[in-house]
Amino acid sequence: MDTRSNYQIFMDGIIADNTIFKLAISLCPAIAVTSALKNGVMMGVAVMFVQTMVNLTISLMRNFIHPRIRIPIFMLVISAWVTVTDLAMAAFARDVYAEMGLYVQLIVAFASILAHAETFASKNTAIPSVVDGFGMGMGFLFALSCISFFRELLGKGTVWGFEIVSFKPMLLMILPAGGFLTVGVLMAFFNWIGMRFYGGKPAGH
Amino acid sequence: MNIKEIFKVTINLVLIYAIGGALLAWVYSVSAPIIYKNKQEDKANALKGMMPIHLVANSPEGAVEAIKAVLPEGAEVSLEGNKLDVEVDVYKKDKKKLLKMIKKAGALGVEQYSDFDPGKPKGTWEPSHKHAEYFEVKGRDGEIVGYIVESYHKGYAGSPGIYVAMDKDLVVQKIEILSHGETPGLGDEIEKNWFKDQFRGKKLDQMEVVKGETEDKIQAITGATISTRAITYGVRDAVEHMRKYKAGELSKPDQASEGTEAEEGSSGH
Repeated sequence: MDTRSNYQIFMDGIIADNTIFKLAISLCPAIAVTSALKNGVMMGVAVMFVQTMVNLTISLMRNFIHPRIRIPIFMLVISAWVTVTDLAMAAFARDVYAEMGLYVQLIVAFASILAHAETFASKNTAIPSVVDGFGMGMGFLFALSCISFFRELLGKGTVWGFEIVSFKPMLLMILPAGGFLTVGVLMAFFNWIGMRFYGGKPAGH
Repeated sequence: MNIKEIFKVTINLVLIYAIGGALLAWVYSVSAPIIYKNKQEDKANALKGMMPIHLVANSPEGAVEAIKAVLPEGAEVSLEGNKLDVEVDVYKKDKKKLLKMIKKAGALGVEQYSDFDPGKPKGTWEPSHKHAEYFEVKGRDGEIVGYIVESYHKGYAGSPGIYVAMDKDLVVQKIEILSHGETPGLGDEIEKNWFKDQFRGKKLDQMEVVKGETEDKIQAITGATISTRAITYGVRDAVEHMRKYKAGELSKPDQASEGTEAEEGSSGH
């Protein structure tokens, strides 16, 4: 059982255990889809939803899962939620599906979702698990929004598709290399804030 | 691990997967018919957008010449009273621009435009093992003015579906993406107008992907060459299919209701 308060679990998900800036997992989607702010936000929202639902499901069934086969079961739960969300949106929320469909399909094997099913949801009750999933999802959404904001601004001169500054954009920023650079610089920045003002430890410790 | 535990683990895994499978099957059975219906609707809407348009401009004396000047090449104009009947193939995307230009040239309003009719599919074919349809677009007098073909080609994730509209000489006029699963931020650039507009006015032998700027061929999307190829080759296959159709080279020309009549119709060109 986790002894932190729900508020603490939520805040840790966003800051202390931030998927991208602290844990440095799920970097692949963080690079692939963050070439524009809209893409980053959509992906973040989709992950937040699936992560919360997966955490809830795993925490409810945790007493029925034999520890030896927990990983295949986590995979089942994640892919089931992704498929159900995909089908339900395509059938009953076409407008949302037109915007979000692509992102939900990408989620199937997400390290951050699998990691928290394993380290948190399988050991805790439903409510803290939902809070944890939601907090981690928010942290991921926050990270992707930051990365995609800077990449779109520098790489295209736009924000959410609207032109903000007109200059010759740095094409590099919307290419994968620019994604790695942005993640690295932002990671350093947030670590610096953590160390300078809160006495936190840098990522990986 | 003794026998008893192996047994326990197996039962546990099988049970949970069976429940999961049953749940998925239920969701699928509920949503699949609705998704199918939605897709058919989306396709019908997309098909409407692929059609060229006729315009009838309400023109005052003296503005006729000015209006003629803004019309694209190949426009046929006839004057009845003060109604300027403009026969020109414009596709939905150009329509707004053309209407604006005609109004600016002095027309008192564009009274009406009429969509062409693609009618029922002329037949089906199988690009990338998918079921796809093709249409003949007929003008007012029933003459064939072009073709619309549904096409697929393997991309990065699945096979993106497209509609390709071409004129009767098989020059591509417009393409529309029906569905795709390409990566957001990279491959989904295929939905952008700058990319789709590249295909306008291109012929079969120009359907090649080039990295870097090109006027003659198709310019690849940076970081998404595979997605670019999927669309380009999808268009290429569609044009090639209609070439065969026109030349009567299809071994089984039609499964559609009209049978061999379709071939006779196309040989008139």
